[in-house]
Amino acid sequence: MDYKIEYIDESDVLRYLGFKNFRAGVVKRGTGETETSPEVEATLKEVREMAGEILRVARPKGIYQRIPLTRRDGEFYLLDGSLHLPGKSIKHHLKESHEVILITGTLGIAVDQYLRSTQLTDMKRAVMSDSIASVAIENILDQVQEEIEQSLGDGEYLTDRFAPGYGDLPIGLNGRLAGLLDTKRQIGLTVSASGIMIPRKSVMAIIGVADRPQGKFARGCANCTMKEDCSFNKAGEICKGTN
Amino acid sequence: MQRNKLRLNEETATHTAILLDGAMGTMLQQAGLPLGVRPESYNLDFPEAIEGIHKSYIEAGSRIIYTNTFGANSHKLQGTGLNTKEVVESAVKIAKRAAGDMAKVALDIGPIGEMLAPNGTLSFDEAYEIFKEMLVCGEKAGADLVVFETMTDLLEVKAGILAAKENTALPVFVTMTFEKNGRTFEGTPIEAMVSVAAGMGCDAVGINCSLGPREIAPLIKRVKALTDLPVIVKANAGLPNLETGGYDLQPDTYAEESVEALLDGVAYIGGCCGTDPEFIRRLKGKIEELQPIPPSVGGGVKEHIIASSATKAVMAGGVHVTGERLNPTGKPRLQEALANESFDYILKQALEQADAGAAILDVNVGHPGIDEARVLPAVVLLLQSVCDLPLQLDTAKVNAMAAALRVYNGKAIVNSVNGKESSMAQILPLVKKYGASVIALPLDDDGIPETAEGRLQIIDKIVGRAEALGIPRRDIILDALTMTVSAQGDSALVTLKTMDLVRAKYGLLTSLGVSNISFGAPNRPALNLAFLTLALDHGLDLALINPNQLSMMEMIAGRRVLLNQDPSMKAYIRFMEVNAGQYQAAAAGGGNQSPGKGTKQAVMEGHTPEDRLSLAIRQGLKTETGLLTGEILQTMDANLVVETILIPALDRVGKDFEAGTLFLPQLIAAATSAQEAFEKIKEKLALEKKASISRGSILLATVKGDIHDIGKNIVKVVLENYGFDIIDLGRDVPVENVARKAVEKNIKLVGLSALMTTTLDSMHETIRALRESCPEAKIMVGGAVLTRNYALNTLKADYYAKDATEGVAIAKGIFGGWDQ
Repeated sequence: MDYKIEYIDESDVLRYLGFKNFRAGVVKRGTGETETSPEVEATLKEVREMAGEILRVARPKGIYQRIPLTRRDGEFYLLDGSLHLPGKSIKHHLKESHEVILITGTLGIAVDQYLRSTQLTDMKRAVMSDSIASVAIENILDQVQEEIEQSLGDGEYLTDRFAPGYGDLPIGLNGRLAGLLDTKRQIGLTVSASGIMIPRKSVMAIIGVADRPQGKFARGCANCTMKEDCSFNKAGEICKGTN
Repeated sequence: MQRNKLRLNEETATHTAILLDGAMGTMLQQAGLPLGVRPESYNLDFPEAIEGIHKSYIEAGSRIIYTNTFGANSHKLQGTGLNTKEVVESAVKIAKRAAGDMAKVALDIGPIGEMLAPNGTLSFDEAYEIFKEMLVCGEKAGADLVVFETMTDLLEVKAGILAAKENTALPVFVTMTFEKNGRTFEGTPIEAMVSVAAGMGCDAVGINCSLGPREIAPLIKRVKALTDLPVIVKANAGLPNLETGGYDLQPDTYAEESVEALLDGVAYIGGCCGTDPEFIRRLKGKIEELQPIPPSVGGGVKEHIIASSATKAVMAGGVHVTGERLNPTGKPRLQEALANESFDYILKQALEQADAGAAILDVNVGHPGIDEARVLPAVVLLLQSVCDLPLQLDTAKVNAMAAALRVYNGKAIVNSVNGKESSMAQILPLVKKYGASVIALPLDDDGIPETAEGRLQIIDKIVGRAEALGIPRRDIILDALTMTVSAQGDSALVTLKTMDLVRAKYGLLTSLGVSNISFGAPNRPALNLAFLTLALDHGLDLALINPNQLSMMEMIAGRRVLLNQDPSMKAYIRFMEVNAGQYQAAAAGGGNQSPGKGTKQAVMEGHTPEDRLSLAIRQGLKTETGLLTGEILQTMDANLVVETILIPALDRVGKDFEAGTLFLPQLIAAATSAQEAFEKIKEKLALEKKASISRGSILLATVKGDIHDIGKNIVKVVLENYGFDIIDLGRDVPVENVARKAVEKNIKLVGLSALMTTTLDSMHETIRALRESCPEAKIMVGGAVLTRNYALNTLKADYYAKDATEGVAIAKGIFGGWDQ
């Protein structure tokens, strides 16, 4: 299904760019209250201009599918048991779920191509656009998830999105999940031999369906497209947007 | 290899479309195929179910059935316990049993499932081998033809066609899958598909999947306009129906909505996702009802594609600019870049020409000491990874031409063939095999004839030979040759008359390298412009010029307006906007550019040029940095500029970044500005034939399997600006390449990056290989998933660099430096 990027969270972009002393909420959108610095202001202005280019080249798409969840001997499986979900973190995530929804979305390959050529002509633009695209794909996933929420039956509640690569859920799972969703044919998303999703600005995640409300960890590292490349994480910190 | 044409082409000469089958997957799902089970396994587990589906299609009217092998390639079958050979053999056997003599059996080949480089990591050769395995098995098992379907990646299609042509005698059908906007997911337009499929000798080409017959109809019209090949359509059963999870067309409406494609003369029609035998039965009824349907072949090519890349096609009509600047002749900086294999410089030149308005880029890497057969294909791959313009491959080396044509994605232009026997015998078969356009030069063993008539005779010879090989006349492009007018007064006239004669006799397209005309004359741009104007009046199609020369480009832009080829001056106005900077500079000082009042606040009057340069770098002002460096270099030694201005300025930026008062975008902006300064220095040194400034060579690579290279590229930009020579092996670099290059270049410091947990193993292997082959080399590693502890203790790297500035500190420590 086709989507449009509706919103790019500028404070997320700044965090991805490593603005260490910048806290989400310092720039209060819409309130006119800004507590900021010249660097932040200058960068935000550039972010807005560069976001226009990402909007122009992106062809966002997303799909989702409900998949049965099976528990056997304390382990979790998709389908009738043919696809093992290893590790502790996914068990914790799905502990109250009876079914899962696989959700995936991509900005399309033109964004990869744009970022490649921009790295040659304007590295700063490339780095900033890379962060902008990482934020934009979250917006697409949010929209797909909204659709999922509207399709829920009475008494069904969703967990947050949980992506392979987070916690101890192996990133290698991406290939199998992509196969299940037929992502190549549906949205042009493939997974390389080493588990990398191509187009690069793509997200694949597992959402649990439970019969009572689930705790949110929205904005957490699990949801973050920068999790593979997070300077805060490397330094053993978390970014200030994680609360 | 003798091509087995079957009777397919005879059949298409009749006035009806031949019925293909409908969906296999949809039928299997109806038969209870569980989610997550590979449909191909049914060939072995439930052969009678597959045979039943085939039979039901044949009963409905299908005369070509597709085997149940869409995903039977070795890559997709990995880990399923199935292998390609047994799956393909059984599938073909089942289909043949079902078909009897009622239908032909097409070996069905879908996408490999992984994206080819440069987007992904699968190589062209790997894709070729994967297809070859299926093709050889399929032919041996008795398939009558092969169909590549649901393709979205043009290079993958090319690998498939080549594998089929080089290893089997099977007729080849190709259908790709398009979105409503007429492009595949990878951005390939219909023109690019047709240029490759038709050029490489496929037997039919068309569209399948993704859309219903109504949405595909306009796309099919487009295919028909571009080729005289039989056209295939296999639409889905309409668009996905979100409520039912199925598709929105019933068999009768499907047949009704297919009428347009049938009347447009498609040669083969069937169904894709959501269709079943009833859809085929209704199509059959519709075809009978519409009798007679107009002939589907021989309609002729209405629009001609001169050249294409994966995402862009250049159509005949109007004038197009071919950028001439990727040619080392007379360009010391480009020669140096080629010798050092610092391909970034070349790629930047390509993007500049694209920005300036080139439609095609000529690529020539010929220079003493360059192994063109290795370098040309490498440069072609790199160019195609960042620039979407079609390429004109310019080499005199036949092996280099062959190697470049093989990996080129799209329809290339071969530059060139001439009337020499050896040239025609070697070049024309390549042109035919890869479906390229070719520039024909009127010269032979006796040299260049002085008269137009003499030149025409050579073209006669070339056209005759090309047509005998099956190269269509429209793919031959005349370059009538430009001789310098200062040596021979009538040279321009002879060139123009040659164009007239050849155009009148053969209707060939024409190309011309314009600037030769003024060689040795004063004020060359004026003569070039005058000659280009004349040539355009004589019907020139492709102008080989420097697109950065404003006067020529604006003349062409203006001409398009006057000839009513640019309605409401849209392109003309855009041209003026794009080049506004150049106009201002010209108005300000006639080309003698200096950073004047128009420049940004940071470069203040009153400061010394040195201070201003330092400030410009800090503020990330690229243009000012370049201009100021040029100014300072007139009076100051290049080494001194680096030592006393550039490095200290960068150090200050680095310190502020560390301190957190300056952020990544500013760090990069400063580094790229400094790069502009280094570029000026390199130009000057190359011009003076002095050795380039270097504090030592550092090898950088993103390890095998990983394509996240933006971090590595940031490190590269920053290191380069400290005067280090960077040998960048790129991303997804095989272990052995890193080790080999390190030995070859006697490298003291290697930087490796990996960003995925899954590619840390590659990093480990690369480090082990380096320790073995060059134990004295130091290794620094970086990347998101790495920690200092893991890097030093598990990977046993010498250094861990958390960011680019730390990388600089490490490099300084190893190589020492002026500022220590």
